[in-house]
Amino acid sequence: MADHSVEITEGCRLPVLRRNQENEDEWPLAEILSVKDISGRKLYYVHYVDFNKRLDEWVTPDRLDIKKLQFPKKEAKTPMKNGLSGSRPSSPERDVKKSLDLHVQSASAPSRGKTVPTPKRKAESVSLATQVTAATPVPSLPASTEASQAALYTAIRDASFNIKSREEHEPLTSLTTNGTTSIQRHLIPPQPGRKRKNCGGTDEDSQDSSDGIPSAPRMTGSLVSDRSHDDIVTRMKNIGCIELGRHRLKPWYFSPYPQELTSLPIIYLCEFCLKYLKSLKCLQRHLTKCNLRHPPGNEIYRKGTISFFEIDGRKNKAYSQNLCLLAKCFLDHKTLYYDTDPFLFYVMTEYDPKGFHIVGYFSKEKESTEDYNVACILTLPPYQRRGYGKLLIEFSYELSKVEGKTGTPEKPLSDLGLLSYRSYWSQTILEILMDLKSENGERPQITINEISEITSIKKEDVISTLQYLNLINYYKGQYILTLSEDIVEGHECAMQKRHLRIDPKCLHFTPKDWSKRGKW
Amino acid sequence: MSKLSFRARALDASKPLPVFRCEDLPDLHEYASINRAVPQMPTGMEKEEESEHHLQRAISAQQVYGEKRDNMVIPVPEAESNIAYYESLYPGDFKMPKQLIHIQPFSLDTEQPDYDLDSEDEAFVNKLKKKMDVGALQFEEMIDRLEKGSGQQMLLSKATCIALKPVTLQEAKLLLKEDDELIKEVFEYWSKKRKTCQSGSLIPVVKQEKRDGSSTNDPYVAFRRRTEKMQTRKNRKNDEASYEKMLKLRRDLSRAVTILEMIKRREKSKRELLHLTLEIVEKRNNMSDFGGEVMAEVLAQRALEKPVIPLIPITNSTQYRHTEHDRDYKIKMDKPEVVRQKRKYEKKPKPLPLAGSVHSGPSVFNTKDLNQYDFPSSDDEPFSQMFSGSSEVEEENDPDGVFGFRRRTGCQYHSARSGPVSGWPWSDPAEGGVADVRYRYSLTTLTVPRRCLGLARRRVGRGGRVLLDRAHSEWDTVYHGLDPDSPAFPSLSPTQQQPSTDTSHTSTDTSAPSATPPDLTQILLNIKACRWRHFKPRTAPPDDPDNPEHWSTRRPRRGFLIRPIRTLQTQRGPASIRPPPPPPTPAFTAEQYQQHQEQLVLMQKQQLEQVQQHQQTGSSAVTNNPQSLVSKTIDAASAQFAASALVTHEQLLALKSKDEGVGVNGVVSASGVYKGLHHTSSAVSSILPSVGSTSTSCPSPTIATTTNNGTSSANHHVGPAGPAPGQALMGGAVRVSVPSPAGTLSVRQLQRQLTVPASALKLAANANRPLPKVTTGSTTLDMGPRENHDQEKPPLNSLTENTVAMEVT
Repeated sequence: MADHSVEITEGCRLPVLRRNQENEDEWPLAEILSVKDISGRKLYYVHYVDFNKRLDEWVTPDRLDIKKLQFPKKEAKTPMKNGLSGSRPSSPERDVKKSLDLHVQSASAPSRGKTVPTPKRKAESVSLATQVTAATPVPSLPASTEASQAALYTAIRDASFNIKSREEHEPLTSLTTNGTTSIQRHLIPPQPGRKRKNCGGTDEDSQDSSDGIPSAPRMTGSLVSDRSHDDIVTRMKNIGCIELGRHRLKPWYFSPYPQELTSLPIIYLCEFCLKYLKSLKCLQRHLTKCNLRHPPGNEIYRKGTISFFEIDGRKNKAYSQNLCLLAKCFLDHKTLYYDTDPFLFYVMTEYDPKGFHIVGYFSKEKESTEDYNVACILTLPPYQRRGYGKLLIEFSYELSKVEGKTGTPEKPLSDLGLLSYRSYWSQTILEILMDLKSENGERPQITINEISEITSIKKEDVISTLQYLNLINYYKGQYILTLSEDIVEGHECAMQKRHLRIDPKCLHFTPKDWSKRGKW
Repeated sequence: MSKLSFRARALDASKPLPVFRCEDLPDLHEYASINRAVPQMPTGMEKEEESEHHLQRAISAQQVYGEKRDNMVIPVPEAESNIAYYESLYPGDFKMPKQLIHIQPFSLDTEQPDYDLDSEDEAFVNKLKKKMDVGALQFEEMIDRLEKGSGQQMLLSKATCIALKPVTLQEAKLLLKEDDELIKEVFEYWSKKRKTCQSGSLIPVVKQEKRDGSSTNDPYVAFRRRTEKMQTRKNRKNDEASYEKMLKLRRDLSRAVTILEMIKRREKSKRELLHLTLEIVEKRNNMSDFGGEVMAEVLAQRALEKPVIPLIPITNSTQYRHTEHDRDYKIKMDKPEVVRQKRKYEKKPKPLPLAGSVHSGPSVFNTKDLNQYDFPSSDDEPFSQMFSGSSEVEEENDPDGVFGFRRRTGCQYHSARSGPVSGWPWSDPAEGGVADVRYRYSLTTLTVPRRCLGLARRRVGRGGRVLLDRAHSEWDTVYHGLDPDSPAFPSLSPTQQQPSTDTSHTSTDTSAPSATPPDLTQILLNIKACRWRHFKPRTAPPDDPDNPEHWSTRRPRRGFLIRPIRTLQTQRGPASIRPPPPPPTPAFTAEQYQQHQEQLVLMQKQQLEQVQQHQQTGSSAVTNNPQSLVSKTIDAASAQFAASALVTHEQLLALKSKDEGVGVNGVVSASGVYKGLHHTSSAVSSILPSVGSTSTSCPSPTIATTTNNGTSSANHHVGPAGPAPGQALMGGAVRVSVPSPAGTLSVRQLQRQLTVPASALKLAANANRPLPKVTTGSTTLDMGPRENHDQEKPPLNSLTENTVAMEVT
């Protein structure tokens, strides 16, 4: 099928044969990320556009549909050198888009897909610029007022432009409210950044990323959301297979294991200390010396065969690093840029006579400035879709309950993360709502804050879940929560399937005040 | 705009929301249009990922809650879970502990090598096993060390990262503790393997950041150190550390204050002592008590008053200290800044030191004294140690705290000599020594290996060891050629005199007229006149085997410890180093010694009688007659004494107490010499040199050096040669300060029989001892040992005569 007369280079897009879950052949559009030549035979590393990177793979030329080949658009695409590709917009754009999408999303249901028209983007950029002007200090007071007035004017004008442009693309329904919000936002010029940040609610300060100077990532947290400086190397899986205990795992993403190991077909890990070894022989030798039969930390929870171990990223660097390397194979946004010192690792294990086998883990900042109670969270692939992920999440909230705080996972969430969290949040909140009893004949009622306190789920997450479940309704001048039959049935059905639960009585955990114990 | 233009109120998180079932609200759909007024919360995902097909499908599937179909699951790369060898790889014998697992800190630091053997290594080790003993673990440890050793160098040369400098074989040998052959094999294997390995390290490690910042964007570099502190204000850990440091500083400073206060007190005591001494001297001067009789009487009286030895100055000083101390203590207690509650000061009854313990100057502590220094050190309570009365002396003398010198029971300690160490009996008078005859360099032959060493001298070292110092001379080759066994000496060709380096010889020999011209005949003469000696083992004295007087038959030698000394003080050329011969040690029994002692006593008695006749003419007569004295040698004898005294200290004491009845000065002084030998080499050097120096009629300088424990005024009263030796001996005796009462008695006895000059008396006063009674002429004292050595002379002479006879061929 492949036409060898045309040279297929990095950046080209073309349909690539792929077998889907139903074993049907599909020809999704894919982008060539890399080409390699093994004994005269070319292999192409393809990324399926609008599919997760974990599905990226090396394909033989016969799976490429050369006839529909699109060459990289020079003007639109950022050069590959910077690690920026078509499917990944540059950061300033993305930032703008983020704040913009707020309004877009409120207007459009998630299922409706992405609609990000370019004019809007432009308008937003302009308004951004004016905001900056307004914020700059001006010598005299009258001048300052003038300036802000001017800014106000522009902002309003931009906003109206914004509305107009959206009118062209969006359905009419929510236009007014959207427009209002948008204008409102720009009507408060003095603190544009903060306002925007509050609205965005997501994570890092987006203004910084526009300077274009390659700098080290922020030192808090364990996830990167700004991937503008990504190397092409990190966009490609570098490890073929990892053997861990009785499992062979196919990594989903890049992980910075020692480079010499990446060329091996299999990297062998010690199941208990997670040390990486180049061969089975080495693993055998290692096992004669390694006495560990459980993660090297304190067991703080045990019920049945499930245990949780707490590992201090500063005290037990070797294990923490090995765990991070392994986790990176399955977490796209995880960064291993910095050391593990400010993190605690909670490793969930399942016991059998061979020892405590790692099932999954989550990491947590010892001190989080942003109410994060989870940094990275992972159920190892062999254990996925069996309720362990929810167990991990539940455990993380149990810890927060002991700490007396509400918490939220660090952003960005992955697709699986989002699904898992939403599922957990939904079940947890519904559990509460269903259990509400009416007092003295009145309607049972509850505040969002109460839900948050009971569950340790951060307020914003409670609201988003209620929204997502479509529970919040405006009825006769007030907000009410409504439980549909579908929801109730679905919940009861799901809860029946949820066997694995955390028993708070089995948790032996005393939170440490890390601020008093010194840095990390 | 739309007809639904009103704005819904913002959702209030603190406002109660009634919960309805949908079926209860049939009209809800009418309000549906405004439901979306609540702004949608962000999902928290990256936008472009949020739009991914699988996720969107899954979300839309979930939107209809609970309805999940398989195709709505986000596909992930598969995982395999049936590793065939898993069961055999991991042992299945781990029992779940009953308690929650708790990791002990540092329990994870096992000393296991990080390197793991691979198949290639295994083959190599198996091959190696045929040749030598090596295990897999051992091999891993070796490789591990090599890797880590070179890893460090890698770090050093990080800037030029490519130029990895592996360890050399030399370094490998330092790193590995195996035998050389194994190291070589493993090292070669390792360096070869390392060269072929592209990463540079055989133990795979995650790439580390480079300091120059070039690795900022290297995707394989991970776990960089966080150089910047996230928050600087919350640095409590730092506070804690600095608080500890401050505490420590305060403790140290308060210690320093205490030490200084104690020094102050000590100096005050010293000053008071000086004043008292001065007062005594003045009073005595007024009374014209130049002979010290009054003083002696007074002291004797006091001694009678207090049956135990009176210790006036000492007790005074301690009382003074206590009061002073109490005062200080009170002051301290009043000071507000001393927060710490000190332990109550217990005034321990201080055991009164016996006569031997002298306040300043050399002192020996007996067991009773020693016990008081056996207190535990308690670092946590610095004050308890500082303020417990018993430790005062210790604290003053030794402020080193934990690292200080601690006394042990059962050991006797002498205080350190002040000033530079000089005045050895073997060193040149110019260097403060006395250049004793006994320490001149003489020809010496060893038993094993049986050969002539050349010039050497013997002296008593620590613990009664006898050291041989060897000197270089131009005639060494000739000396070495001397056959010790043959009766005839090879040609002892034109000799120089006793080697020029031997200052002691020259100084003693100045009065010998025949010594100066260095020709063969003179040498021969010297030898014949016993001025030149050759010591050799007794085994083959062919000429005189039956001579009962032969020194070596009488006193078999104990093992000599021979130490080649490269450079001696008085020596210009380096001495050749020879392997030390094994000591020829016939057992030296106590009986033999006793016998010998008795013989000696007899001889000394005889000699003394003779000498006392001489003495009538005055001490100058003795010094005028050097010829008879100079050639006397006591080398071997004194060495023997030193050695034997160690063994038979008890006998010696017994002997001495016997001798007391005799009342002969010489005998007692001789035993005093033994005591001196026994106790300290410094005592030897103070007594023996006095003998030698008087014989050479230059007593004053030596005395100056030997009485180093006396006050500086001591020498002012030094009279003509006569009293000087007495003083010297006095110094020695004072220093001896015997631990047992018997010893004290004998020494006191001894001192009563001496003429004690004023200065010596002052010494005694300082020492707080009963004043020795003044007896006969002072020179008797030094005559004793000298006569003793006269007795030694004949056998030695006979020996040297033998050697001389063989000299010319």
